[in-house]
Amino acid sequence: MQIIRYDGSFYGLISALVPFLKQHRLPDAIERENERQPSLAVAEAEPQTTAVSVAGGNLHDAELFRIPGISRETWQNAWYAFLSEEKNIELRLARYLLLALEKRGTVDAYQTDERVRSIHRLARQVSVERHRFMGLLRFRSIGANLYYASISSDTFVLPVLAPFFVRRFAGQQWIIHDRRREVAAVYNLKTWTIIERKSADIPPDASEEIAAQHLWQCFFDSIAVRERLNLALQQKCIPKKYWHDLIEKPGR
Amino acid sequence: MANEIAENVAGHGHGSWVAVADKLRILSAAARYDVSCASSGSSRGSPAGSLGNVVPGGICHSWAADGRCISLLKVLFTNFCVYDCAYCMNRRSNDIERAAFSPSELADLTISFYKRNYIEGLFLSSGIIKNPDYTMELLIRCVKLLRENHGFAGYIHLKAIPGADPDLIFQAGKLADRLSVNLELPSQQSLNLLAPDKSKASIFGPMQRIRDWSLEYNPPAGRQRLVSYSGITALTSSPARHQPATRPVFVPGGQSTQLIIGASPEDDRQILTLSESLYKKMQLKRVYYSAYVSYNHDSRLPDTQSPPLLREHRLYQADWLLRFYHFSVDELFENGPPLLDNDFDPKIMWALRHPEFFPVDVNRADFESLLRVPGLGMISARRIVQARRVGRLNIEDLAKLGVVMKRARYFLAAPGSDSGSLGLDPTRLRQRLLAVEPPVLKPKQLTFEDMTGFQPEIFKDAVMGQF
Ligand code: SF4
Repeated sequence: MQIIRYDGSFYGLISALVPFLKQHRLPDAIERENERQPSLAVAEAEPQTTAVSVAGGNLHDAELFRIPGISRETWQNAWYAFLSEEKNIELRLARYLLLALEKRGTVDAYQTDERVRSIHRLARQVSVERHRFMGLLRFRSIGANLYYASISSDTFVLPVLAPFFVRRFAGQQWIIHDRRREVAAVYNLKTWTIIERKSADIPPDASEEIAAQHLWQCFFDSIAVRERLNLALQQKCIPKKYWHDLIEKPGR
Repeated sequence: MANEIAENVAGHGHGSWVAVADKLRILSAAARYDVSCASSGSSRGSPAGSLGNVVPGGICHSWAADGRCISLLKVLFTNFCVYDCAYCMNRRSNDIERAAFSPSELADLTISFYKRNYIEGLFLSSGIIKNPDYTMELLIRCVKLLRENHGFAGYIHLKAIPGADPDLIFQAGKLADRLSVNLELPSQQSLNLLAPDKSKASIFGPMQRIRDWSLEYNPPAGRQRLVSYSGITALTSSPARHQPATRPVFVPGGQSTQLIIGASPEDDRQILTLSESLYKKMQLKRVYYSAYVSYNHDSRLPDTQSPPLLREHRLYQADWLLRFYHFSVDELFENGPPLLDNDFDPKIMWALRHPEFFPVDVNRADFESLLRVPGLGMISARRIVQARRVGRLNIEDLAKLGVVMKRARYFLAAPGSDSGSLGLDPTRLRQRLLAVEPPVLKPKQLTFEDMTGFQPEIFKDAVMGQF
């Protein structure tokens, strides 16, 4: 029995897997040492630079991912699928990467193969949820140039969501709190990082923040065309699970 | 009276937020029938120190109670209007609540929404206050504040006011991501009848100029690609992501227009022929269709009880076929009446009229032919082409690829399929297909099976286009 233990990060998983992959074999089991290791699943990036490595640390780590036969697309699928936090994702990834080595760069064309299909499906799930939050995430102002947002995502989108907001709001300090996983992405105008954060002790909204929220609700209500009311479609587009963290109130 | 208001508007007066809320209520309600709110088709990096950026595919931030995507702060600058277009709720002769923002009020509101991630940017249109030039100047002043004082690099869609001075339109185009000149009515006769203050020249003139300026100012290499995947930047450093801060570009997101459907007698073929020529000759990025909602009682207008939503939906589907599936209008309506089919989407309509084209061989047909198969979208067709490189595909493989076979099975040939035995008799096929066709009660998302595919720009455009 060969069991791999890894620290919970994607980088950790790949480091542990590479020796197996190089010998074209699979471990019998893969175990996570702890539930999640956010500090290692973090891409630290200067704002404005997009040279973010897959899972972490710095560019030096990228060396690990230079394996002939595994294309950039394949790594990207693997990284996104990993973030789905699906049960046994580690072994599925191992099988997928092993197949990638066998197929020498063409693995992603084997879309009828279950090993490829399931990874593609999970990657897509993460990518879709990330895209959702690019729109549905709501910041509230909680201090001078400081903004806070909370989300509760099905998949661990934070590491791939945060860089989007680093680019968009490079001049604001912000915190994105993943309530479900009790971690938060924190951006301080220079770098961003993921830290553990159980609950948020957010100050009550200041008057300017309250005004902004009112104005938004007002816009949200009056932009709907009454002759075309379609709450079912609205709910399909914003599933109820996301309502909690929105400012506006759908369903009315 | 409008003139007095106009003087106030031009000042830098700043109301309390309650007063702003009132204006917002009136002026967003007045803008809600304008459908062209997609924030897609442009991309803009953020020069250092600026706020925001534009992503190529656009993003939906919320969905309103009518199920339509909210991406931009869509408002009129004012709903005062000196014109009297028959179909418009803001026309001079209507007795309605009127309001106007000041440029700084609206700029501040936009920034406050943007910083909280409520919106992708601003969609600004307006009624005509005083005269077209004056109105255009106010819009420009607001957008200048955004770009220059707030360093706003997010998306801005501006309405080019018909009849405004070309210099002003040019200035607007340097500041905005997209400009639109709304045609509103699909023919000169209807325009004469229903919008007597507007002439064809006042609409096509600016359209042509905008087209020529964008050809002149946007070097072909820098022009927008439709396809760009904004996934993670794994293992790459992609320096091309950010455009240089100073760009001598002109409406990088191109121009669009809107047509009102059902207020005038043109048939679907006439409307789509117009769209086709706008895409080709004016190089428009989008033509939007808006089902006519009757709020004015006017003898020149049909007294429709409910807006023709299904017709609007079919037109969008057909428009989609023109832009992405290489159909021409002539082809679409060949062998049939100049109306789209109520029961089926236009692709099935075409397929039923062209039995000689089918079945299409999954393993041999080229990409373009696959795209013509009802039920196959971009994503499915691409997957088929990719997957068959590594082995012949049979009918089960198609299901594994995620191809929805409900409709496609009648038009595809693959080992294990029985499409041949049906004989593709159009009448029988029609019945079969009707049985699997869900009733269209609400605007569906186009090619739903493709929605979650790895081609976000199409997926997003579908969402943004409010299908
Ligand atoms: S010019 Fe525009 S706002 Fe004024 S009446 Fe005509 S359509 Fe309405």
